[in-house]
Amino acid sequence: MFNRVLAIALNTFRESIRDRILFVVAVFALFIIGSSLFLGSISLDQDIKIIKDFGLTAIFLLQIFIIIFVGANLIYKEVERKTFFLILSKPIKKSEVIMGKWLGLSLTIFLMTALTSLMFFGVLFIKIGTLNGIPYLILAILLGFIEATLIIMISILFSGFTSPILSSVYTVSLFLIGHSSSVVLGIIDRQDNVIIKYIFSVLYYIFPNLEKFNIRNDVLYNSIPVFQTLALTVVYALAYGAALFLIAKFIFDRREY
Amino acid sequence: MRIFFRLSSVFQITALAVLFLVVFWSQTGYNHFFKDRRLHYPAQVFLAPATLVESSSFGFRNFLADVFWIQSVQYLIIEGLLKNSFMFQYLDIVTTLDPRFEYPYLFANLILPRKGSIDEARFLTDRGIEAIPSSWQIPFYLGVQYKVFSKDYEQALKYMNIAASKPGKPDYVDSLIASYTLRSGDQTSARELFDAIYKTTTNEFIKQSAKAWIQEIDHIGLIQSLVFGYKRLYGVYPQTIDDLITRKLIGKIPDDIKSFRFIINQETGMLIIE
Repeated sequence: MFNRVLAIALNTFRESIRDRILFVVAVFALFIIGSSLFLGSISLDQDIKIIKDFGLTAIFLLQIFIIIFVGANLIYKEVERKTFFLILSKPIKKSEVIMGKWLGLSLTIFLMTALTSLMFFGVLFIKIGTLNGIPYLILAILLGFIEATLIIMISILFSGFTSPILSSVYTVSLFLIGHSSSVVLGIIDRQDNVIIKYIFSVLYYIFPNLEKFNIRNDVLYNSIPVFQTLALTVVYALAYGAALFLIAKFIFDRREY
Repeated sequence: MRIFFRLSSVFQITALAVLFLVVFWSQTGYNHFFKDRRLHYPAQVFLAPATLVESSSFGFRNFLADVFWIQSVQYLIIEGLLKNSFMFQYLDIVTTLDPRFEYPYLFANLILPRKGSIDEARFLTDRGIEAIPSSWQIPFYLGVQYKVFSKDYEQALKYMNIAASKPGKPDYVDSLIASYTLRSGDQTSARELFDAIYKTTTNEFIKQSAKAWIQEIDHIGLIQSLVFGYKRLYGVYPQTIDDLITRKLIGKIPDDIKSFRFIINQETGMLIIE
């Protein structure tokens, strides 16, 4: 089983690496990192903070853009080119295809993240001349990567039953909702109506809470969340990812290709 | 076209010069038009509230905080041209998005009181004290501004005391507290504070300053007792401390307190230092 998943993953990796959009997105990320040098110089001596913030944001944006532009096309391209039928005619399960696609795109994002991070650390090292604080930044990037893998699964889930454009729209919407969980929590706290409170509470737990993966502000001030919260965040990602996988499998199993 | 190419080169050069003159004229006219408009219409009439920006940040809080910070630095340059200042709103957004970003609080304390917005500076300072408990600079800057811009020694002392309770604060914060206490009219407490500074500081400059302050407070105390003596002799308080010299209660005002501007409260006789 693992060999079949790995074969699809490597194939997805090779295919996505060849995608021109990937390089446009990478250049965009590098442009943001580069521009932080200039913007830092007009920020009243806050250049280190600006470079770190812009670097972390650029890497995060890179991950999200790859998912939106490449991930949404993953299944659709296969169906359009009829290659999906060839794969399904082999002794392979649809769940293994989903897992392979997820792993392949995760590998692509990991590679791009690693390359951009090296560039980011290089710029930072040139500016401050030390590697202090880099481990904190790596931790923030890693948590961002875990978030990205969760969004990949969301993207695959949607690309299983809609067009690439709609899949992108749905993925972006869930991303935005996932980063607005504190707003939903605020609504729940302020709400007097029990029914509305209950509805919002259900929505709060159903939609992904992506803000917990965001420790970019904490690492900037060399403070990281306690181990317990980090562990709970990883457990949350595993559980939510597995749930998404099961839903995607359910949809793919019932769809005729 | 063929005629044009047959024309003499002198004509062509002249035509080129005329064309460039037209270009120059139209460009200056264009610039002048917009220059006039800029003076009459503010470039900015709206800035989204901090809570709205915060709830729309979608995981990009730090990035947006930096963008708004850079904007606020640039805004400082054009602010004078506008009818309404958005500087507080800018800094409110920055500190809402990234409450641990220390510099905007200091920036607010330097900029806002100068524009008569010390209450807004206090609002941001209170947020900063809560978000960055280790920073002595945030309350210190506001304390100084309360003294400089509004002569509100009560508030100045409040924030100086907060600054003094923080780790890493410099020794002169204690001196300032003692100085503000004196100016707020509490000479006894001020003398005790300077005495404590004199006995505990290891900084020689601060030690000598504290010693000088103790001497000055003693001289102020002497003047105060003469004001009360004046009342006993003449039934009224003197209008100014120069009356003490005129009535030969004292030969001259001690040199070290000559620079102070004293006001005598005509009901209580207490000296107020401006």
